[in-house]
Amino acid sequence: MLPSELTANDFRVYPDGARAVAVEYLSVISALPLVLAVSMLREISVYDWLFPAEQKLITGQLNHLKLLSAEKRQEAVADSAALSVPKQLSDMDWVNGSRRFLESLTAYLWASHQIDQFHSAAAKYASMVRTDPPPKVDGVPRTTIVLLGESLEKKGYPVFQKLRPQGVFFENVTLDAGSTSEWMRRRAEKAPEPLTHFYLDGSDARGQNYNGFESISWAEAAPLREDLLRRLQHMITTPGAGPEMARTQLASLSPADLGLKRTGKNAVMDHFVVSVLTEGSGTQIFSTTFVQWAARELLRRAQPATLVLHYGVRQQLQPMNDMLSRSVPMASPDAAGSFIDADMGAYYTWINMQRLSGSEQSRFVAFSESRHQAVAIGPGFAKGATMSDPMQGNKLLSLLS
Amino acid sequence: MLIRSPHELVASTSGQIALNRRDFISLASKGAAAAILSGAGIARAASSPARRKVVIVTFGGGARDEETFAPEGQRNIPCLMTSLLPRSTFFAQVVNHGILGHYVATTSLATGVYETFNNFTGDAPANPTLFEYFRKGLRRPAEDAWVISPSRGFAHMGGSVAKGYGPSYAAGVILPKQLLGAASGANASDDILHLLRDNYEEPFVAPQLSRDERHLQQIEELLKLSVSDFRHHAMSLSSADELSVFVARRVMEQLSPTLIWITLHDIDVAHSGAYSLYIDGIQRTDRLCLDIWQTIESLPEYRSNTTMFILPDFGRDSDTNPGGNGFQHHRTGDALSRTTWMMALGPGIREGAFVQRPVDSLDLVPTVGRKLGFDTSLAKGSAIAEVL
Repeated sequence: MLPSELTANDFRVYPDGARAVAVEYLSVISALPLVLAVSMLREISVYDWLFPAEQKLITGQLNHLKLLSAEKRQEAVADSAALSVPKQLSDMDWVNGSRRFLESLTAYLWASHQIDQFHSAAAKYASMVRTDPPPKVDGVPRTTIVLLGESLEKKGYPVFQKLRPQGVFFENVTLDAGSTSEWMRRRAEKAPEPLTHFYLDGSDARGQNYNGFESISWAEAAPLREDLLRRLQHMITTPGAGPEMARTQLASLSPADLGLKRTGKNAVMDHFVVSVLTEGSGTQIFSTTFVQWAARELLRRAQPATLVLHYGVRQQLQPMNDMLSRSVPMASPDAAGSFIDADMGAYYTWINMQRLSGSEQSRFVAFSESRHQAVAIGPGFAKGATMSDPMQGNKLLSLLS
Repeated sequence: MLIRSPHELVASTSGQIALNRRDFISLASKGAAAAILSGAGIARAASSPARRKVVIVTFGGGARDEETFAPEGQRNIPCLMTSLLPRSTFFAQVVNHGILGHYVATTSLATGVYETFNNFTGDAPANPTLFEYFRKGLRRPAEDAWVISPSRGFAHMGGSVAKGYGPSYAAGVILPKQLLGAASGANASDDILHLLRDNYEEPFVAPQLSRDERHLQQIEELLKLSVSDFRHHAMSLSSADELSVFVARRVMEQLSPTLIWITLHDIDVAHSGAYSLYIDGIQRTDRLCLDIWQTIESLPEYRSNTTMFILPDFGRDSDTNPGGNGFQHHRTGDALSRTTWMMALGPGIREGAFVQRPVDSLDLVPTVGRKLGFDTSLAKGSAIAEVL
């Protein structure tokens, strides 16, 4: 089937919100080349469980396409339309199986040496399709705090080396949990909209919740992780199964498949956590990877006003099959490796912030609880500067607002 | 593809990559210049083609400039920097235009053609391998070409399904972890299990812990080791790649093959997202490359007549490419993930030389063919003049 043959009836099994969007913009979607139409449908099909920022981006992009002149629209999609797609792929049920289609398409683009052409076509399309600006919360500039837990340490390792040139390096900071939670409380009060502030905890502690913040916890996701590892272990021992099949099967799991049936904004969070654990590589076995990838995805998708990350210690490397097996006890913690992972994770989080609109106004702090050192980046923080004087954490946090 | 916002796609990294590559080139040039000034030149004249040997080491799976030869990465590769670089001709831009999956890319390096099979199915390549060209062209016996590879996923890279080639001319493939799995049986201890570690994407090809007779035979007849000695030695090692290098050394000592391909793979633990483990892998691979060279220099059959090539199969994604997650994967196909480096060292190769021009990954096969004196007619790419 081609996009031009789409009808409203094709979306009959979509959830309510998704179906409404697909039907409303049917004329726009059906005019897109196959590759772009399926990409769009992949997003629309899960519309009901997307973050508000994502929903606005999708409808904004569809609206913009609708308003583009035929000539401009043609120009935006021409390179994508020029990609060759075999009939075997176009014959798939890509309306209801967009993920599987895109996986197969990706493999085909690599094998047919069209992957670079695809990236270039996508970049051209994106540059020509204006999207609505992300949601802004007045008076609450986007801020991320990355905490490297106290037990993380690698002697002699120069912390925040990649971040220091971007802001001020504080050599002696006292930042207690009370100061951070008070700062978070005030942030949430200023902007009480749901799905705006997020706390990501990679430690083994449970019950770290903050009013006004959506919490995601490595420890509390343990039942989900164990369920997924059990399934993965089963796939590994199934004759004929391979990593691609496993990836596809994991990625197709929904919260309901894993016993989660919450509604409203909780359903959005459940879908998000499941996507981190099923689509992320290593997120099921290393808490540091879980935090880094979840932070990346939250910034990319939710575009939060506030994001607070807390890295805990991950387990040591073991044979991969053992880490994927619940029958083997967890290995001892790797505090030194975790320190390096979290340091790099902080850097990647800052990079991911820079990709968002308004990044020049955003604030970023990374703090090592074992070193009592921090780096702060944003307006008012001189690049490459070092502050040796002792600094109270609450004072540092006050500089972020 | 998901196009959520222009920021995801239009944040071009090409300028950054170009800058990194210039820094990289600049710094490596300084190292090369120092080596030349110290009196190094062309290594001793090459021996006759009949005595020449070639060892190819893939520095894998997949390492980026930032963690290797770029200024901030050089601390991770002290052996390459101080011991091997001054003796090498160094290629700063080796570009892989193929599929960036380890098995298909490594096999493409070995066929000189960008293969397009599914990376995870472990197919034999469609085009003849270097080993088949070598054995057929020079009428060499089976024991003269060996591939030592990390996992069952690489089991078929020794020979192709190409007409006129195939198993009769293929290299023998040794899978050290399979050997260890066979030697250990179902009761492997923790001292052994860590060597059977597979990267995050490959638990499906992890070795079976069973006393497979074929592998036991390889240990005893090929490596000339008792199963218990093999197992005992393995217990003193810390990684799967160390086991591969140990096996390679035994093969060189026992059989002195002309052509050996060693696929190192510890680095690919990066897929688990742990940067520290990725760096550990690079540091170990750096040390193992020097170990291999020292083995070459210590064995009379190899000393003074062996050319060693060291190259990653490809890089990994850039930190700044919004489609990837930095070092963790190699999925974007961006310039950094495609562009890497190669060292060549041995008799007749200029020491401390630095080549800035781009070289294609496919150029390896015709280069080795010219070096050893056999035809590689179906391979793409061109022989690299700087090392002939």
